[in-house]
Amino acid sequence: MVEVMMALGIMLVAVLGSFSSQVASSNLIRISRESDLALADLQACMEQALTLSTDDLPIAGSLFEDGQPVALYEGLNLEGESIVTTYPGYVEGQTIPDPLEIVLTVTWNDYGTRLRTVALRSVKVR
Amino acid sequence: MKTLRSTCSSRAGVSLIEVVLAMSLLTLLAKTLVESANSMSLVTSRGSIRALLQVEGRKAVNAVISDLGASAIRVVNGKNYPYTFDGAEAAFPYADHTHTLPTMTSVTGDADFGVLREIVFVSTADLDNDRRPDMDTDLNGIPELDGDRDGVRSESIADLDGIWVSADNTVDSVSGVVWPHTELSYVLTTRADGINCLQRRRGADPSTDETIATHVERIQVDTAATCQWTIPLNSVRVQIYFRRHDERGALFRYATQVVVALKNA
Repeated sequence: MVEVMMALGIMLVAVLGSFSSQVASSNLIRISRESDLALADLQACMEQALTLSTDDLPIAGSLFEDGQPVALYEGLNLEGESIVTTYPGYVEGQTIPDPLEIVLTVTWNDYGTRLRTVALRSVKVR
Repeated sequence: MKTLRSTCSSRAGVSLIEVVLAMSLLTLLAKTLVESANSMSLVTSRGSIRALLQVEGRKAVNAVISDLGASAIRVVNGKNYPYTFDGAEAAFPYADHTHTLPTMTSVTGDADFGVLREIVFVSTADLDNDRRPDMDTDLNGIPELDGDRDGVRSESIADLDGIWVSADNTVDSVSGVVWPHTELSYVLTTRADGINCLQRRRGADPSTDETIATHVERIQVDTAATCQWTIPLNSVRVQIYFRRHDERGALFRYATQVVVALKNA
């Protein structure tokens, strides 16, 4: 009986090990899928930003106001998703730089509620 | 001698209780294994379907950005572009783009329920296939092309022969951009196997269809006018809704949208 129990115990450890590696692999795939989704949202958001003129982008009241989240993408596809637009070199109240550098940063919570971040940069000329 | 034989026989083999217990534990373990394998298989298959829908979405968005980014709001050959039409029925003079309504399974109340709105547009010419829009830089009505692939664009017969037909193209008198009269459209059709496909159609000819994405439930293309001016002028918004069922019938949905600046923007 002792031998049987030992054999079963060893089998159980092996099975649990295999199961946990499958779970880890599944979680990695999920992270990858979420990152892909975040990039897709960033790309769509950047395309939309590029439809506006340089003068309309960073100003107060714009959909892509400097330092503010883009309302359309709040919680769109991911848990706690938010895309914030920033313009390095732009200072409110001063002349808008030409070319204007646009940085979109998406943040979201992954399955383990860890905060994840991806950024996308582009430049728009007047 | 008798005592030794008796002791050996009592220790040899396993009792029935031990066998039953071991079998029960093994069965339990095997059942757990099968269930966990099934569960992992389900998780993997559902993850794959979600990933595939995302891939289709990315493919579609990239195609839309590439195609519509080379389009513009303008009149070519007497027709206004872009033109959007609802319910797969295009009005005159775009009626050639009318097609059979695809099978859409969404119902009122579903997030992906709504009007099917497709688009007819024109794209800048690339007659010499050099991946650059063709231009008439000296504005004399004839573009400079590189038909002989020698790296030099010119209006010589060697460069224009066989690819330039003035009656099939309009040269913008101000910018010199060449606009072919061939119309492109995005249409949603249902394949013989029942799968809905988003197609890029050239010249309203179904035989030219190129599949951009599969498992598309609905597409809605809006200009600034059709979406109550919520997007900038000279831009087009494309919303694509995907639907796919897994082997057990569970429904997966994915939606993506992109606002593309046209050439006039």
